[in-house]
Amino acid sequence: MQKIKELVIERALLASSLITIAVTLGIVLVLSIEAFQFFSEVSIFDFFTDTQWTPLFTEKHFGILPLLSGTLLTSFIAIAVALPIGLTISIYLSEYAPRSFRKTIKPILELLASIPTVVYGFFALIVVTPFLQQFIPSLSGFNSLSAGIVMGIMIIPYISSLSEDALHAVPRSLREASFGMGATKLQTAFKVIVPAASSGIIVSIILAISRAIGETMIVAIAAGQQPRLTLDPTVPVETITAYIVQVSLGDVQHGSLEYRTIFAAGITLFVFTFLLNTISYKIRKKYQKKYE
Amino acid sequence: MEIIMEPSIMKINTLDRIVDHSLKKVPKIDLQGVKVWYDDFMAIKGIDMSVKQNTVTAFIGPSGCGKSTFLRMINRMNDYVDGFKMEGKIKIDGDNIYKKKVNVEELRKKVGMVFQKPNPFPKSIFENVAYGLKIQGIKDKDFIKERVESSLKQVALWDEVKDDLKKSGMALSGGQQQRLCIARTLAVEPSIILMDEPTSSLDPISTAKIEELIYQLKEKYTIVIITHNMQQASRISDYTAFFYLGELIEYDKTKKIFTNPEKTQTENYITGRFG
Ligand SMILES: Nc1ncnc2c1ncn2[C@@H]1O[C@H](COP(=O)(O)OP(=O)(O)OP(=O)(O)O)[C@@H](O)[C@H]1O
Ligand SMILES: [Mg+2]
Repeated sequence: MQKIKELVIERALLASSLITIAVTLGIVLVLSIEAFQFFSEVSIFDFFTDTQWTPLFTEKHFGILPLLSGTLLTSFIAIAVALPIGLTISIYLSEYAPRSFRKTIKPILELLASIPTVVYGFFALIVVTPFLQQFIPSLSGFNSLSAGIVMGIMIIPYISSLSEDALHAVPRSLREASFGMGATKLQTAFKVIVPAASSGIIVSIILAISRAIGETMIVAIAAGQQPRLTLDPTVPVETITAYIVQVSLGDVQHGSLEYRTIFAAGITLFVFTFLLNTISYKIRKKYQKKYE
Repeated sequence: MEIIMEPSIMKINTLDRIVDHSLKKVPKIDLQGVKVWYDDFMAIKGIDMSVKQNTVTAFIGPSGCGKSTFLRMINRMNDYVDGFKMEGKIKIDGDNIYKKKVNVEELRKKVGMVFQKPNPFPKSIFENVAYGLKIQGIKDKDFIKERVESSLKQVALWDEVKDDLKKSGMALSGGQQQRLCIARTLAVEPSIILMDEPTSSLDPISTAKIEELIYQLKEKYTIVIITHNMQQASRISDYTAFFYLGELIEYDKTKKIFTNPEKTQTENYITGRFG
């Protein structure tokens, strides 16, 4: 009886992992097929060089660059906000804060990442943008600045929490060696601990970037829906993710070229995040060996 | 951390004064009525001891008797331990190092430490040795180079590594790593070196090299070393202190301790009858 139970459980586990793999493969397959059909109608060269993205207009252009620039601009702003704040928090928690404080504050910080992103998006649109408009009167109602800043706040815990883990994992003996030579806490943190934890910190940053690139709700709500090749953070832009939402919710006919644009955009996004995740996985593998 | 001590206004800077203390008969390190607690646990129960300049003093005693705790009092390494409390005075060259005004970083430049497990920084061999100088703000590249070379020569590591100073310090063998750590400590020219079981993770050949090194270092430095190896203590030290359960049981010339100890507890320990 016990044996049968074990067997059933084992098979169930196997089945669920196979299903996961199958679903992933299925998604990649559908993405690829639809994207392939898209590229049989639109040249890949135009896709990467045309500076306009107007698939829903009568005069159609299929240049991914405006969507890409919108995505990279909002992500860049987010990282510019999250990186200094996240790193400062992680160094403070790991090197300065009393143990009890560290234990309470970490889960609270991680809550930031679990707030629904629609709330963040709304916050960016109706609080942050009007606030910033007091200082930057030319700021549009939709812009990458507010969306980027709020997205930066959302991804702080990705950086602070994972970096803190990496800093904390640096052996105590290295701290003692540094203190023992007359180094201050600050010198020890920046000259020994941060370099020793650098791979872990880099992984945390890459994961945060990949999260920012894939973020949808905040940018769809607060950054606008106007594909525009620009680095100006005060004007409306559209990200890849926001475009996909826009088309998916619109009344574009299935199977049409317009419909297939979302797969072309989707596969571009997928390639980006896949690359970032692979890099971070490689670094993490290398880093795990270091202190064992 | 909480430190109970008498107020005073003298600064640790007086350590810098060039005074030949061996002539003045002021002990290099003078520990008076030292008691240490970790929360409610009393790890050191009131110890007096004085250490002479340019000697090697060995701390021996069974595991958990407080050797490391006592040693780490001399460079204030226990300051960061949660629940640490102390009482008593510790003077180096006549100045109490637990006074409020003492600059702990300055103190640790004078009192270097070598740990049980070699702990090089994940940096190049050169950077490991240059670290102490660089954190002092020294920028003179030639000076740093010279000091790195002379320090590595003192620990007899120079010939082994001079061609790949850029290699990571962690890529060396255990014995080489420990000599690198000693070189790193020597580079800032301390006057006292504390060693907590520096050879316990090393093979016999590396151990012999480090013992020889300690013997030579005594000319310039005052050395306090913890060891569980009785032969080592008798080979390299001038004085030996035997600790048991947070108390200093016996402290005398090494020869006396190993040939004719006063206390039976000491005799039992060094002959291996307990501990
Ligand atoms: N950080 C700490 N917190 C609480 N108790 C401690 C701490 N460090 C040491 N102790 C306790 O203080 C006592 C003395 O420890 P210490 O490390 O000084 O012993 P030791 O003689 O160096 O032993 P060993 O030979 O094993 O290194 C032990 O009972 C130990 O459990
Ligand atoms: Mg010890």
